[in-house]
Amino acid sequence: MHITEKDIEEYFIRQEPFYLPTGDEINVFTRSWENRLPVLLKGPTGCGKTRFVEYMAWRLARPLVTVACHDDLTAADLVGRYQIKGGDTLWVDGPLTRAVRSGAFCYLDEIVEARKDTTVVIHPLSDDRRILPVEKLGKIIEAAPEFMLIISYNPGYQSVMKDLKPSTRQRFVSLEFSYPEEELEKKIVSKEAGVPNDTAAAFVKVGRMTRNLKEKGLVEGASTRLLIHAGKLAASGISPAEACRYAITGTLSDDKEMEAAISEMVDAVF
Amino acid sequence: MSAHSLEILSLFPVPFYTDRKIYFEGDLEEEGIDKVLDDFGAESADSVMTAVTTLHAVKPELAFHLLHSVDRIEPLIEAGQLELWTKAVLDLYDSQGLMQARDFIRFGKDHPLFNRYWGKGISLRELGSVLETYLNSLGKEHLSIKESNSHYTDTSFIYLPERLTIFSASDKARLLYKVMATCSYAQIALGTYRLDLAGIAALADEIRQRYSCREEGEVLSDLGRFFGLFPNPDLAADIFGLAETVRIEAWMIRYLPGLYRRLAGLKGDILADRPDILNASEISTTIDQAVRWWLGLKEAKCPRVITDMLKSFFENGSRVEDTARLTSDLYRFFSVLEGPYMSVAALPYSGELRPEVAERERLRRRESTRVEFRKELERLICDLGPEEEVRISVPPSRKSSRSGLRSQPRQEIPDEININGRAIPVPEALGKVIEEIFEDLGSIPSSYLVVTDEMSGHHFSHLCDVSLGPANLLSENGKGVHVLDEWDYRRNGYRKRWALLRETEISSGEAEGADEILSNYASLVRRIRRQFELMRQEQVLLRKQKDGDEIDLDEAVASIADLKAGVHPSDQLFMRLKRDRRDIAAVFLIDLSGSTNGWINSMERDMLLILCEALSVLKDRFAIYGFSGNTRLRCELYRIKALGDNYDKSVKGRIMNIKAYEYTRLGPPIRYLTSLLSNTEARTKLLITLSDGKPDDYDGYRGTYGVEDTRQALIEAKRKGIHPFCITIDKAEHSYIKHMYGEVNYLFIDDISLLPLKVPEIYRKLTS
Repeated sequence: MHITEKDIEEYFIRQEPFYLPTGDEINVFTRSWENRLPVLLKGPTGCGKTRFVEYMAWRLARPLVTVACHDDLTAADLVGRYQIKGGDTLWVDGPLTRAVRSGAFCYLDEIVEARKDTTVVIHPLSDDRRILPVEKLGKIIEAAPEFMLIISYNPGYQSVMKDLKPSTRQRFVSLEFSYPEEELEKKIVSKEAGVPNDTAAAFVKVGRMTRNLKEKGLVEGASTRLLIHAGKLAASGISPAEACRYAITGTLSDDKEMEAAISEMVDAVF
Repeated sequence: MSAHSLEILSLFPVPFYTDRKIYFEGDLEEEGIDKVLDDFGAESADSVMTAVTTLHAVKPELAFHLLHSVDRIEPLIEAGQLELWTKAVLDLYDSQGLMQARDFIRFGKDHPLFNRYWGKGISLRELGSVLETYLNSLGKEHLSIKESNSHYTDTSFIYLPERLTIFSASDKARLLYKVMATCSYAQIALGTYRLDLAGIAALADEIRQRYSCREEGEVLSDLGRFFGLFPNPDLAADIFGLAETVRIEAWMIRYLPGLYRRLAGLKGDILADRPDILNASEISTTIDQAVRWWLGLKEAKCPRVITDMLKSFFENGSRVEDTARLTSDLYRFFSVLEGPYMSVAALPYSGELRPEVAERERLRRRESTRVEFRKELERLICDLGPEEEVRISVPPSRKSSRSGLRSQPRQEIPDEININGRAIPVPEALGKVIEEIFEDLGSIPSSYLVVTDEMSGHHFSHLCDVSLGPANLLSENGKGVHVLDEWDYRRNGYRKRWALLRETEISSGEAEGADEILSNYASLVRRIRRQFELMRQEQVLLRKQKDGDEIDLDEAVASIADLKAGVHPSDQLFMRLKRDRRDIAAVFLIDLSGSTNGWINSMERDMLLILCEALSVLKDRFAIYGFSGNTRLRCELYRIKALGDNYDKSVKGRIMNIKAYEYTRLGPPIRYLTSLLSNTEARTKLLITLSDGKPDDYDGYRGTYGVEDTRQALIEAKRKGIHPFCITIDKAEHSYIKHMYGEVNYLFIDDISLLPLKVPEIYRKLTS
């Protein structure tokens, strides 16, 4: 346990992450934290949810523990488990326990991917009890006042299997994220990728065109993250049209006709 | 006698009828039809023979004509294009009938349509879906491309010529297609057809005073009426068309600079290709010169003042009202020139202006949006529960969006409506309709919000529940209609966009009857439920794992013992709980064709009820659809329970309401459900069909054709990772089922009364 408390120092974000607010989210997040309310971030992939959490952790000077959830993630993975070392058993805190003890932000990314039993351990943490029962230790850990639980989820999958249960949802303050407004997105791409404004504007245009194809052949349009990738390639000398081909066209679809159509879009812009 | 002579003669048993002559014994030999292939090399003769048999399978007469006119398509045979040609013949036969197909064969390369396939340049179909997808990326609304003789848009569809012949280089023709499509899109998005005469009242008055023309009564659109203000409406329309193109290109340079740059490169070619106009009046020549100037001709003989006006419009014009103003100004200059005015060729990429067509389409869309809006509203009110009296109003939006770019301002549209003073958030489907209404009218007319009696009660009738008659064919862009391909084994290829399938929900009947039926089957239901309970997710404790949730104490003790004993201890000290999640999505497709009427239908109903009881124990996701059809233009898919629906009273009611409809066209529903299932996330996907006979439909969908199309649809399903399974009650014969579904993928139930017992059992076996 001593080890973990020392470790938590490493979870502080020392440098200000680049983040441009799209609305009132910074204020709402801060007030939620002050009121010890957990937060749910909704939005499509690559629109800045994770970056926002990083930014807030920096801004409020809290350590940030991020767990990317997957379908094999169990409650024990979050809470902790005994391990055997040299003939002795040794308890090792999971990331959630670590965050609860040290008053960090615990960010469960794509929570719906995790096994259903994990949502149960976050329930007592996300209401006014703010406790984490650790069955194995026979202990109930009370969350430090600065602790905050943040979960994210992408409603775009529209899968029956991947929906958040109402009993879970109804504990959270929810912040909806979508791709930033055109002007803002230009600034973000320009700054993050290090490309001039007009090049960034062209990438954003391509991105918005692909988003128009959502449900008309594409599952999702290009995310801001993809546009930044294309921008980075362009900034290091690849021509913008080629950068789009590598970072956007091929990434969005395997369908030849769709790829051809996206190439036509890229050609129309560059 | 050549190798093929006998084969040919055997294809046409006498008497053989054609449109010109009836052939009797010996006539065919006399005409030498059996010898036409003698002069061909063996390879060519074989390929012609293949084409002949393909055509023969569909319509023997077509094969006959091919042999008759084989010399007219000789170049195709050498180029190995015969297969493509055969497909073209069959497409024509399908779409326009025997006469057209016959002429196409007879005239060979001299037929006007021949160019469509083998002419110079590029055809629209070569571009496939790429152009349409590109087009749809430009804006949020869905646009489709249709083939036509000319290039224009009615604001819902963009019509493009089926072949562009002006360039021999295909990349230039391709680019031209793209520019044409983009210009039509821009006409829609930039509001060419949304010119509002009331908005330019002062200008209109001025023009009226200038020319004092009598306006004609029957013109629908404001744009058409605007042209009618001028003494020569054609001249006004041509000027307006040119000015609109200038405005559109100005938009293009900002929004699609890459395309604009390429268009600028293309303009030189277009200019070089533009035919000179001869013996034209001064006014026509000047318009032609203005067009040439816009295409980049430096020494164009067009008065400076006109080119200056266009140039400054390119820099400053932004709205369609500006175009109208410029049209009026330019008209003044042109009208003093010597006439008469004969229309000159417009820019080949800008597209014709058809204000009346666009207006009619707009009115049609407005009406269908209104109907849609009412329907969504009804649904919302019904969801809220019965009310004595319903009053609806829309809270004032901050700003109405009327003209300008069609793209953004969503937030101006209300996201709540007031029902009896309560603010109700607008559901997504209704929101979309409201958006369309705002697009068109700027606000929701109060007449849309009047509540009628049947809307405020419990019950409302579905729009789709219209009476079914053979004349009631579906339209391609109808609500819930899906356009599907169909497999034609004779040509070994798909008939594109052949079948129209409509998905509708069966209206809900009395659920009480369902409970009665279930109580009749009480002991069976209990037994099946028990069986199914046993299948529910089993948890297995895996021992000896390298990691896991719990320590495997036995192993841990053993390993400590090992350690003490100086043996290398095992590191597999954990236990893990493995849950075998039943990740199954199953779709049941029930035959509701006419032959299931009566007894079968009622057994199907009982079976579905019991099945639902059983499956709700398992918590597997399942859907139930019924199908029937009457020709390829009306395949019906009746939704009884969608994958996401809960098994509740209304599902029971819908099951109670199933009845026998018409024919058995099996391919389209399978294709549609395949796409539905492939978009569903599940480890195991099942498509279980219950059928009572061979595929059979009114328009030739029977025999081998029907079986082969169904088989192909099932192959497509398997390719997408779906397991098809068939339960048949066809007593007559079921060897075709084996051909369609494969050896082990079907089951025959001979005693229909066992249906309710057997089907859940089959499902249990299939999934455990």
